[in-house]
Amino acid sequence: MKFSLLALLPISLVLSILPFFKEISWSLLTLNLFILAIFSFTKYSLTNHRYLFSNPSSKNLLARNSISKYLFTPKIINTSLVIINLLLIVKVYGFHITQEVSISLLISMLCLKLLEIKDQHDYRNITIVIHLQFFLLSCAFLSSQGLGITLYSILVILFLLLLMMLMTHSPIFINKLNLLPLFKIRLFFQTNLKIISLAVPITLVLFILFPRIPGPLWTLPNLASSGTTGLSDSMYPGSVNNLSDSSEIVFRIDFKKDIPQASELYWRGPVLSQTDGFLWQQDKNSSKKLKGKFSQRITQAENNINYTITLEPQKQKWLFSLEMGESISSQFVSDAYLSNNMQFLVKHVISRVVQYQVSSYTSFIFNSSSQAEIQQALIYPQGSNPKTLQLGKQWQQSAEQTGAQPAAIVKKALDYYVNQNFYYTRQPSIMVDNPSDEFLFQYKRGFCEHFASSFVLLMRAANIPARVVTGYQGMEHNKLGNYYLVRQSDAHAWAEVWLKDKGWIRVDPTAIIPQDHIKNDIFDYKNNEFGFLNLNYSDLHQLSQSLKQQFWTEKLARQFKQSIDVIQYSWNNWVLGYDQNKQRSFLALFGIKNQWQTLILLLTIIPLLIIAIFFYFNLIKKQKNSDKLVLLYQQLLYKLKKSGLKYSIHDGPENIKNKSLLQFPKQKAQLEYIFDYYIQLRYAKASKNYSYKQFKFLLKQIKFPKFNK
Amino acid sequence: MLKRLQKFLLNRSSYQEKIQLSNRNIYILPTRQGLFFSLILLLMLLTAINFSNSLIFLITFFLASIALVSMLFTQKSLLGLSFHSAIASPVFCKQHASIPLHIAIAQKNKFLPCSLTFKFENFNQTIDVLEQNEALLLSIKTQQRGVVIIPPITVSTTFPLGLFYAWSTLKLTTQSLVYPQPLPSKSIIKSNYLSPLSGHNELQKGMEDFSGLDKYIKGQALKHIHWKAFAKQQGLYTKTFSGGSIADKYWLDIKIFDADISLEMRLSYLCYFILQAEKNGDSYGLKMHQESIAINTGDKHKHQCLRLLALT
Repeated sequence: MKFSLLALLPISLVLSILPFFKEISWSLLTLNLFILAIFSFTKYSLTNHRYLFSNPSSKNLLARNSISKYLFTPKIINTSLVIINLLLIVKVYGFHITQEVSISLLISMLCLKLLEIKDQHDYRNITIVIHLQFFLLSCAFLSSQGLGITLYSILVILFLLLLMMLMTHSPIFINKLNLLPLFKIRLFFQTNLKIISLAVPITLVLFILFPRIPGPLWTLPNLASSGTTGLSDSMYPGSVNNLSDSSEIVFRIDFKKDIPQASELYWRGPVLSQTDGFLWQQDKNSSKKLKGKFSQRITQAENNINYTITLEPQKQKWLFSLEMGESISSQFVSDAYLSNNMQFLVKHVISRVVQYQVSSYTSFIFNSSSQAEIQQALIYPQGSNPKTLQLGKQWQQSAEQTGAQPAAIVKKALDYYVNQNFYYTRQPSIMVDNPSDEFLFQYKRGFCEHFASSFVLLMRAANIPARVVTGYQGMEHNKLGNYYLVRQSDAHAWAEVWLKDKGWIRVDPTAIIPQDHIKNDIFDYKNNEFGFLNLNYSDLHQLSQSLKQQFWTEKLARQFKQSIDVIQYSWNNWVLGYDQNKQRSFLALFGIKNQWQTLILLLTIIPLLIIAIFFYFNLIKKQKNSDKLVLLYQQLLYKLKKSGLKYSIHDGPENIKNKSLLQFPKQKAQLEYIFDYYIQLRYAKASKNYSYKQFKFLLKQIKFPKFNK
Repeated sequence: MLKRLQKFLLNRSSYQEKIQLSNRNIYILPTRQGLFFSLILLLMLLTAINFSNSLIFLITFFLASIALVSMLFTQKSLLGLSFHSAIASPVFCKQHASIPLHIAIAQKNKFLPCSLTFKFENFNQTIDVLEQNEALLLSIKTQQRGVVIIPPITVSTTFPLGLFYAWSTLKLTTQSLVYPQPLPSKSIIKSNYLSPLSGHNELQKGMEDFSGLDKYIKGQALKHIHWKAFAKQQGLYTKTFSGGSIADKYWLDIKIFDADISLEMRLSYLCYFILQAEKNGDSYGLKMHQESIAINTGDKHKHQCLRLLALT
């Protein structure tokens, strides 16, 4: 099978566009593929020689023109396709210039450029197509940074390098389309590998040493579609339950020193205080910045814990943190801030893996920001869940009569859950109208959101400000990599209750369910997950562990998964998360201070050093002729030359022998013998009479008279 | 300006018999593709810095290092090659001389040079893959007699990725000869140059006494072959003649021409005479200012005479 540059070019283009299949609309894709098809059929087909002429007599120019006749795509088709493309882009995306639009534009223009290629010697256009594909591949990393796509890109780059080699290999004066047989392709491929194997160490050096300039230089609206759908900013009975199946990792945590206790492992997400009885949502001011100082809102803060979180994109603007987080720093998100609800937020949707460092206090008193906040948390949705309202009011009245504190009502509610035999299950019934009533009085089986929402409604009914907080709870330890991780199945909803003099207090109704009331389906044997780690932590833990160890295959599977996750984590941490801080700490290991001058000096020196070493070992080192016999012969020639014999480079042994016989007639016998010996030894088939050693001996013996000028 | 630069670069080296390319001989510069590539790399670097995307950094650095390494490989394509020209069969002036250029890979080079382009004047040829030592035929239009002057040949390649252009200019000497262009002159002075050496003072043309047949020895005049016998498939025989040879014996002297005829013209005329003499089967000798070649006949003698003519 024979290959040519023009045939492989559309294939490479298809490969480069492949990573974008999810993002680019299908209509654009089909149009571009159609353009590629036009190119393939009009310009060249892989093995078809139909378009070849070989005019041995004609001049090169003539032959070129005759081929061009067939490769020519009329200009009107080109321009009309351009217009169609632009219109399609405008139709699909509108007039906003976002990242998606730019990438779509780039892809369309690349395909159209392909049509403009006149023939295989149209270096300008072919170069543009190939080189811009490199740029396109790098853009693929803007939306996903997994290991898979990296490997894929490297393969495509290899292919493109091969095409570049093909381009340099088609000389202009061959008057037929240059077809290359397989062995040549293999030769090129091997050369490619050699180049790449030398390039890899230099790449690593550059990657480590190149200074990371923080912050974006300019911004384009990010792709909103990248990332997985995890926790939502609204909750309804069943929404959190939907996440309990997913073992996808949301974020990984690396604690600097202290590790929080199990009861403190609440990762704060959106705070939902607005409800209509069924759906819970954030209030309007939830994304506003924190009013006042942290120290005013959070008092008696103790037990400081510092950690780094690597977060997978969730199509949201939240940065999860342990309750309560005080400060955040990150090189990947420049605009992180603390919201009024003590949640870390960013202004744009996070579309790629980000890493950030947080400092949290796990023991605190959480003060309210304003009366409005408290009032908002007292609103009971009108006309919804009447029985809950009734129960709550009942408790309030009895508490007023006995003169009990509001805290007692809280305890009463929690006791209600225990005494009324509530069950925690992953397969609750569907409750739509008055879900709280149905849950509290009818089914008594639910997931965390049922417990939380019903609890909050009870509190509101009892005139105690309460709201739902969603987020994640608990974490898993990856012993191999010594880090912790939180999965989607850890999604949790709990409540916050406001008590005078105590501020907002976290109350997790699900935490107090006795262990035998946890339905077996809560335990996910495969993932070693348990829904909550809390007061019953040790009991639950033991229970799950004992259940777990029954299946040793699960243990193996778990270890395997963990080791894979370590790779993922290291990838995220060291490659994706390689920011200025990491660079600084890494280089400090070598004693290099992260100053611009040092870095740039190293950057220039080390790659050149690597090249210089390669240079020395392969090129400058004296090229010794490995053939010892030829070396000896050259010694003989040198002797002759020194004694004044003149011969040309193209003279073979016979010629030189004759010349030397003329010059040194006295040594006729010797010369004849040694030259014949050499000729026999070198050129005749191997015979036992001649040996290299003998020749060496002869050479040492022979001497010529000194040369007198 | 550019021409002055080129002239300067050419004058840096001298004509040599054998040229081996080393890092002193090879020049390397980025091509247009290379410059465009660097532009694209810059663009990717900006993208990486802007989005703080480590993987884009990785790819940018990967491609940059590949470009850097390809520079090395482009030079390596040319390094170690040695060129020398072999003797070709001599041609007459104004004809095209086909001089074989021997290309040798100096060491056991694992890296095969590919798409080497040889250029000079109108000559343009590319060798696809140089697997072993090769001989390239250079077609040179000769303008003057003497030793062929091979114009400086540019050996170049952009092999690995077309990002860099490595070239070297070869200035080779050769030992191939150009004989003077034979110009016919109305045979003017024939009577003058009859030499007393031969016994005959007159040209004798026509039939002579046929004395017998000898077996044909290579080199004898074709004119004297007994073709009829050959046609009868009896073998090749030469007719011998008694009474001396039919061939003339005479000296070709450079001084025989008029004084106003230039040296070049004289040489051209002499060349023509030699060719004519060979055609007729005459024996002739050559007398130049300093050297002379004894009267003889045959191919080797002809070349000897022509060589003398060419090198004066």
